[in-house]
Amino acid sequence: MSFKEKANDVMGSAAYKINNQKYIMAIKKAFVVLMPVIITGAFAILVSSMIMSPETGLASFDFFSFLADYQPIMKAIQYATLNFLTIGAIFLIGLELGRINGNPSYFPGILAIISFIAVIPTTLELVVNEQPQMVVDVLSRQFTDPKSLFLGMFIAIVSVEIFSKLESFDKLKIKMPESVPANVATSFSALFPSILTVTIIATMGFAFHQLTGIYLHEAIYNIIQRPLESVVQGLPGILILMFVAQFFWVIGIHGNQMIKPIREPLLLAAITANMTAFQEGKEIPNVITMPFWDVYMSIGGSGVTLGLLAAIFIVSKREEMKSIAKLSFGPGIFNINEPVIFGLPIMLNPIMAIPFIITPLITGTIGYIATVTGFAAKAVVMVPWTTPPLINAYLSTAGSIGAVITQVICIVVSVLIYLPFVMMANAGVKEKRKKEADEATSVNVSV
Amino acid sequence: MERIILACSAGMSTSLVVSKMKKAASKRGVEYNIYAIPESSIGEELTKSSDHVLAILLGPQVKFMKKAAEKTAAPYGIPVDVIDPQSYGTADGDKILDLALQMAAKNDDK
Repeated sequence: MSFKEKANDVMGSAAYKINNQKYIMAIKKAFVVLMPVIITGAFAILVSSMIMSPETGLASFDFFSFLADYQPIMKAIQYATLNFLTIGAIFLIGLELGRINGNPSYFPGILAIISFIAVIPTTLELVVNEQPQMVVDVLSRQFTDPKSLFLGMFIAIVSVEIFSKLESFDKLKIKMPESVPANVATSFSALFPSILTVTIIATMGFAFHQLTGIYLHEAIYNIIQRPLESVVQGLPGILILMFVAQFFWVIGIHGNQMIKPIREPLLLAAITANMTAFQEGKEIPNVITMPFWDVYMSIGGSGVTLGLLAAIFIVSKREEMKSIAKLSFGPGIFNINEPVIFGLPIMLNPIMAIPFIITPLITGTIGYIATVTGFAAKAVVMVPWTTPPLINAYLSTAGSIGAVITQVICIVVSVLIYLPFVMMANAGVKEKRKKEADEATSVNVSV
Repeated sequence: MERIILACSAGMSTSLVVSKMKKAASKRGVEYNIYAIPESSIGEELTKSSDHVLAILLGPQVKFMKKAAEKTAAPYGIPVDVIDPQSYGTADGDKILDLALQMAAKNDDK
């Protein structure tokens, strides 16, 4: 087996293992289902800020000022979608993990939510008129919005795993006479496992608080979620993540699929926090978000291949490359670029692999600098990854022209990076043709 | 109608291939229900209905999921294979349709 094949094999089986790891599968599936929820929230924010807001929207004109009265509708939608994301994630992760563990009912999802509520405090300490007050029976927002996402993911996984384990013990099943309908019997068989699971989880939360003096949610947020967030909020962290994705693509494996389990929770939580802050008129916290990835690091698809297509149109002398570029242009506008990756190909092509890996790292750095210096606004609206370039920069930043200009700069830079490599590919074909011609003549001579 | 299912990661990039395959089929005067789904929902798709599925073709970017897909499709007796990168990238509808039909024919022989 050649080194190339071997490397391919190792990476392939690594990819298979990552993709088939059951927690990763459950988390990934959950976020796919949640995407429309996030987009609905984004829609509410766009309408609210661009139409109904009396400061920035259409309602700032006298004639449309009545629109401002309807802003609470959009605020309600935004609260219901973005500030309730964690509850949805817990339910879906529980549900998916239950399915993977062989329980296809909805129950594991519900059980995950119950377990989550059982470990969070429902009494809030507030200071009213300088007097500390205990407010009982509240579900505060920090437990339903992405701030508690990792706690939710953790509790969903632990509770469903305990439940599935207990469900597999025959002794815990309540036996029903055969005359009892099957549905009734199943609901009884889940009885002891659910009682035990919720008791274990609630006790765990209680014991943690008693022993350490801090709540489980604070511990998970401070020990896991915040450090991870600060890693991807830094430029090196996001560049490493992109590098890994590109590396997988180069050997023909769907790179985004590999990094999704880390990227999605963190970058979606980041954009959700930005959307909420934007709606409340507070300072926008995060530079790196899901739209940042799409707008600056993935223009025309992974590897900023829009630049590659342009470079091919400008300098390529190879007919087959040009025809692939033409074919790929349509999907490329919507950031879909598999035809380029496999057709050109970029996959296992040492010449094209270099710009394919470095271009997004460079454009990402440009986008980062532009955003940090304030030239481009931070993303405050989630847009789907299939939104065409320029439009996605404009919409995701709620109309920042600086962001659009930055994206144009990124596109120009990507063309410049790809150009020399496309020329190299031209040279390659010339030599090959010459060689073929030489061979042909030599054959003629020998004849 | 007999079905040919294509699966990639989100079911999006493959839709280009799907339309080219449909064109190739209509040129030949035959009609198949060809469509794309995300690789992760192959199981659900087959549970819904597995009738008349000639073949399942995976996009090259999810080649590493072939084993898993084969496992899912085996109980239904549906063959699974990966489209080669070149014909996928060039959206060579004719060649990919041939592949699907060959897979189906081989499957019938068994």
